[in-house]
Amino acid sequence: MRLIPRTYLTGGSFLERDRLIADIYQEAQKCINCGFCESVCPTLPASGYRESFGARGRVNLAKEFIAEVSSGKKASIELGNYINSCLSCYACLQVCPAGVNAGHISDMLKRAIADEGLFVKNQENAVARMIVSTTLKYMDPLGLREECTEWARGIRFEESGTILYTAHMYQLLPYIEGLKRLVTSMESLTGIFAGIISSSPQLVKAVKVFVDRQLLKRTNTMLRNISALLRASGIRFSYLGANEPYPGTLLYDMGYVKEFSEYANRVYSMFNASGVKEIITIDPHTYDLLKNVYPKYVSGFNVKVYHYLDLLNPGLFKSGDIRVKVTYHEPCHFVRRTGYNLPKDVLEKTSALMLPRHNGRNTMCCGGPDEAFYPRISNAVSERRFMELKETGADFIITACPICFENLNKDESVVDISEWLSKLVNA
Amino acid sequence: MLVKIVGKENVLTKPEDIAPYKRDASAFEGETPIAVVLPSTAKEVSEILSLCNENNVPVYVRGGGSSLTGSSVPLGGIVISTKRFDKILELNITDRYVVVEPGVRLDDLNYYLSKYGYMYPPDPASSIAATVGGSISTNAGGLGGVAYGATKNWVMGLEVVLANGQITFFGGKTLKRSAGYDLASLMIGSEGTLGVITKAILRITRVPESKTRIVAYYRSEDELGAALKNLRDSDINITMMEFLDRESMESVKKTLGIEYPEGAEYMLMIDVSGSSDETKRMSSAALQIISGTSPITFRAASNKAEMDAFYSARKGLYSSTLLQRSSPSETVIIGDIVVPPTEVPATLKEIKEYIRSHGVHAVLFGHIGDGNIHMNIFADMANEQSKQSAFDLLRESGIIAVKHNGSVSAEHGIGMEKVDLLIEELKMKNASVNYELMKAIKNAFDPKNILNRGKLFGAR
Repeated sequence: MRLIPRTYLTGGSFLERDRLIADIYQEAQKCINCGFCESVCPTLPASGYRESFGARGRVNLAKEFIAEVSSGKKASIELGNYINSCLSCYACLQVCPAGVNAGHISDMLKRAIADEGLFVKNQENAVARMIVSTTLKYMDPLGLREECTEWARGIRFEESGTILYTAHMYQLLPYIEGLKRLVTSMESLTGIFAGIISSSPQLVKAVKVFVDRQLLKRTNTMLRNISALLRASGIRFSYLGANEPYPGTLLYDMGYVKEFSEYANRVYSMFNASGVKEIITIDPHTYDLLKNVYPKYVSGFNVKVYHYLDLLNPGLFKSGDIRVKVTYHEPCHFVRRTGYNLPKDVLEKTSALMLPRHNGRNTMCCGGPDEAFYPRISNAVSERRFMELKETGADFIITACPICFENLNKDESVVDISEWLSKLVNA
Repeated sequence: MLVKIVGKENVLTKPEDIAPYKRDASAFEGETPIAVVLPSTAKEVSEILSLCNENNVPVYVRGGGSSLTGSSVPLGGIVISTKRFDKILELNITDRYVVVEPGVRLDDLNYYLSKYGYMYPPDPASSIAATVGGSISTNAGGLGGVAYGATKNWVMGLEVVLANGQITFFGGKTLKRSAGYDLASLMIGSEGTLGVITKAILRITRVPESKTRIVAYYRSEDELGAALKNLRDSDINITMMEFLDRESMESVKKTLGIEYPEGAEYMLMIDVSGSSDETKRMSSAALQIISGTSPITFRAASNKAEMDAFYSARKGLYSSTLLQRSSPSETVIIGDIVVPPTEVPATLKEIKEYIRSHGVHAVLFGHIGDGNIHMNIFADMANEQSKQSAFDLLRESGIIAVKHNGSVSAEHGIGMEKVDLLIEELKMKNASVNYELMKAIKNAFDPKNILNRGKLFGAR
């Protein structure tokens, strides 16, 4: 078996695919198969303990894939669902004694799957393909850019090079929630629907029918809270309204790197055209994407990126009732990708914070973004995490990410940090 | 038929689903099984075994898949995964036991028990991944072995499904029992060759109230041995006694930045535990003893952060050696032998001499308090000579251990790796008949040899 593609071995010019294969090989071969990663992988129990849906299993599949493609043939192994269901939460990396990032191996395999040229049979996730088509067409995964501005009705924004960038994350939740219910109830037909929408993206707008109106009201309030907190802290900012593009997070997450690269450059052009110099993000995914990924794919990317919590005046918050017990669900993209711990610091100062078993760098994923692609797995992951958070005995579960909020929002104790902070200001 | 027993979602037959089950944490790769089955009740296991026994199909039971000797690698047949047996069923603090299913991981069990101030002491380094069933099947030990022994000291009863599908119970909820052969003990370390464990009653004990960690550095095996002897001869309650050799310390220094004094050949690390008052008294006695054994330096950790820093040198050793592999095809094979603690210095000298004279790249460390020596041996699996040298060292260390009244396996089992060494050990002890007895026991439990065929006894 030729383990590494020839171009790599001979040090010749790197073809993109050869480099990808070589990178997967390098990472997967470090694995000693100890199984530590599998014990913290949230999708393993969620899949009914099928090892190919766990971190170690995916690394094993990567090795099988490499064995096939390194002989120059297209791979016949069917990796699609095993790999695309990886949450890329990187819990595996935290416990691996050999420093293997099984999540990153999945990321690379997702790229191989999205490439199409490496497999005998197309293995893309139908919903992911649909989201690529709609995002490229509408600059929003569900074609709802107008609807995404609803929260800002009546708010007058400043003229400024600093923008509040919602990235549509909170706004899409009520629609995704409706979509999720539909996908779960008609699982066998999902692929067909998604295929139809991929070829006729305008049909995606029909998702409006399934909106969860109660959630819509709440997420709009969260956004208004964030805006109000920033204003109360003396921050001047603008908002792009219907000109605000979705940042392309799902394109990148699902391995559509080529499409993402072109898309991110389009987004950056839109920022430039609007004179954007500073961006205030409001969720961990966009914060991570703009801080760590955009600079790699957008040449000359020169925008200062903040998270809104960075800019809030600590003096705003009354010390709160420290008898109120809260627990905090730390988002993977904060603690593992960006090392951002401000929400925890704020909560520690304003309440009796009780952390769950899996916390800090060992936090547990909420199940996102699988809710759109593999709702059953996502539900099982979020159910497990929700129970763990409840076991702390806290009165409130605080989330700091809209995706985490959506997945964990299983009773009235779950609140977004913007709601919590607004309560402290108004106490 | 299997689908009828456990439902179609719990029978895996696609190559992509089965691929990960061909390997465990050892260097062995098995043969593709016909199917992987995920039952969740003893009744389901019973029906599966009954079916396989009737049709003479080998059955390989897999827990966390963290075996280091190939115990859980299938050689065809079917795999029974115990992962869906993931429940803690009962806790009885007064009677000091917990009833668990075999797929519960050891760290999960101890997290649960810690909420009540209790623990289940067997703590192999793989406790994050290792399951109750798997650790019983290999009689796993760990860092606490010096005080708490191995798994065999903590198993009270087992529900077992026999090869023919019959469900039975060995032992029970009492500490004492004098009622014929101790069949529960027979299951411990049997590596899945006698039956399938579907429930375990485990002893638990209180988590010590207080703990102090002490480290000392020595120039030679003899000085290290003197410290070991004097500490063990005292009344100090030592709950961990570990050592690292210079190459181990160097690995840790390179990857974790943990320094060691010049001239140090060995690091000794001990935990002293008990009530706060006892720990205070005993740790000062331990420091007194250590000061009389010519250490280069020694000290007690002054706070939790320092305790954790010391511990990371030992706990992080595996990672440290792995991170130093020179190529992706190089792997680290873990050796595991045991001798009476007083024989540790002489054993270490002999192994070190072998390593030196044969030019093998290996680091030594282990649970010195109970005489358990481990080796991380670097082996390039793509290079026959390198691979052979590593396996030669494994074999030689086993022979050295037996010469010093020890054994070829302390806590990792026999699996596929040490079948020849087990036979050799028994031969050296004039106890070859034991192997025949073991075969007879196997035959009584599993006459068709369907359970973990090809392990422990080698021949299929």
